[in-house]
Amino acid sequence: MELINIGIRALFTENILLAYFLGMCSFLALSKKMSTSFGLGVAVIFVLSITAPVNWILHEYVLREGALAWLDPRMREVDLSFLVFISFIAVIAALVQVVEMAIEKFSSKLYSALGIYLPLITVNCAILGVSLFMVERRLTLAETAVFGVSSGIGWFMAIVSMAAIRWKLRYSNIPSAMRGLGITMLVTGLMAMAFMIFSGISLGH
Amino acid sequence: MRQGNAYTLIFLTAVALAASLVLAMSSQLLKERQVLLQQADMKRNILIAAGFMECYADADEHRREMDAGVCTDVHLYYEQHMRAILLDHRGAAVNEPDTRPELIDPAREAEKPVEKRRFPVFLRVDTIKGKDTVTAYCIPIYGKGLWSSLYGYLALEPDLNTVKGLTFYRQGETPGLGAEIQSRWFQEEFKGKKILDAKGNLVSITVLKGKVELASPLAAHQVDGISGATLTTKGVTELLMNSLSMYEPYFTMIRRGGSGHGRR
Amino acid sequence: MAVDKKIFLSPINENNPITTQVLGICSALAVTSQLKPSIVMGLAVIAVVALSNLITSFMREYIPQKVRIIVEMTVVASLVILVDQILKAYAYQMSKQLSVFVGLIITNCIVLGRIEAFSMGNRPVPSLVDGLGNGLGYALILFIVGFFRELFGFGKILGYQVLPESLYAAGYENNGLMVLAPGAFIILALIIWLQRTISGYREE
Repeated sequence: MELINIGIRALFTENILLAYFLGMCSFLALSKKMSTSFGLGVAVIFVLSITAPVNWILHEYVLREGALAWLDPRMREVDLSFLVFISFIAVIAALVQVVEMAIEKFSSKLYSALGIYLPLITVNCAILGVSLFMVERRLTLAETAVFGVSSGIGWFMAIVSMAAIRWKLRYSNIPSAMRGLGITMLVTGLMAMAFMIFSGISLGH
Repeated sequence: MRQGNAYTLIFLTAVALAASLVLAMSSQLLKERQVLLQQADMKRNILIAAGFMECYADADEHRREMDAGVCTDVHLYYEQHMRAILLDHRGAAVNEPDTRPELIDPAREAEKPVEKRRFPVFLRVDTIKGKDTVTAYCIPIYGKGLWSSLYGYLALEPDLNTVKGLTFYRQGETPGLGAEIQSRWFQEEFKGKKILDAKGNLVSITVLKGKVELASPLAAHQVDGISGATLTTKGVTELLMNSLSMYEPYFTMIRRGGSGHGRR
Repeated sequence: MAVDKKIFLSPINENNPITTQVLGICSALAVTSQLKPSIVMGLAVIAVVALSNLITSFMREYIPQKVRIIVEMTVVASLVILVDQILKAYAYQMSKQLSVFVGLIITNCIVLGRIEAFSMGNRPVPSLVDGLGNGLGYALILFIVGFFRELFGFGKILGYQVLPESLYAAGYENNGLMVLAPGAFIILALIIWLQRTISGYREE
């Protein structure tokens, strides 16, 4: 039950983008076209689903205080948690590199559409953010896996919705200074408000 | 820019070494101070829960930074007025000189099997008419909030029924909503509330959705809620019950007249 | 030094990292529900952007092309860890509040963005100045957003009650939306509108 709860929360009320503001840069820059948004969203789901559990394992068995005890009981005092940021980012960078190579092989159209933004998934705050939240909230491996996938899907939902809305806004009469970033921000705010209606839902409690 | 794989490898190794060196050094240098501040924060909260508001409370909801000067005072004050004991899950005192009760992390303890867990109790000892008397029992409380884990302390009067004070020293809830559990007004509400019902059963304190009806017979076990923070406060209600239940064996023994902690 | 002045000043207004370059929005919004964390976060980012620009500029001749991004990230991540450690040692209460978001400075697009756009092709001192300017431009936006969110969301500034009791007695209520995500987005949208109207920058 708790797992479903985490999943639903990550999708709606605690949407990684609309509630936690993570992953905004690529969201704002790329949501103009539906095809790029879709492709980027799928890539993010994939990267998140893998990096979250991998980082959990890294944190549990190497980084946190006393984690290295399985190697040698005398290492119980060792606390490498100050390396969390750097090692998580390394894992993410490595995985994004792999994803990039895979996409290049399977769909050169998507690859050229995503262009520079594919390696920029590495610095997508949402990816690192999910791993950091996982540590902060002391999630188990199963909870982390669910959290990773759901957060990815939540981000995907947000960017695809935004692309759809911006497509519709193409011919609207927006004040010139508001065009582009300004109106996107405003729409994001309204979307965030809309997603808040889900906060009344609570399963199993 | 030079190319060549050998150079790349050497460069990367050099960068990695340099970074690790700088980070390890800073971590070592700063660790002592960090632990000092962390400890001071916890002890300050224990003291506040145990009723020492006058000395360490802020005049407003401002959070004041602690510098080394205040740190030392908190530690000193704590040594002078509080005594810590360690219990096992049955409420019996445990003698483990290597384990510092203040350093026990409730989150870690929760992961251990029940028999291995250690439960600290912080006793406020005042000298009344020449005798050392326990005037407050302070226990750590811990549980899940909405966005984060909540850590705090709950202090009870010697009757082990009336709440003397409550603090939260660590939480990551929504600022202005759930995070208000760390504010003065919320914590003040708990003072004087009772955790036992008329029959002596543990009912703990419930944070209501809305205001307490003062005329209701349950009012002594309820506090006003925080609007917009229902889920956080639900977490508070739950963690209070859980934490108090774990100490019930010990408290029951004390209420019957035992004194599982001995004299100073 | 006429050149240096422009490097410093332009990111504060016309080339503002948030409103014009569209960088660094992520972690910006999350901490701005109150003014104090906004200020601390702003200072932390200024430190990281300036120093990482400086360090990477020194290294720019020696970094192998293939591993450029990784090396840059290592420098940035190390600096952020340093900042985090220092916060925990000297401003413990604040570090508790900022926790996760300090780590997210690593992924703050401004840092990597300025390294790629400027310090990879410029000398250390101008890079440092560019870092300071961009950091300041970012901190400024954070300050404004934090200011209004705390004012309208709590009636306070830096924790001090600013809106008088009489206003509340007359029926005024704090705007809860300001405290939550949508409020931040909307305020930022308005700031962008205002700033672009002033600076004349237009997209498309």
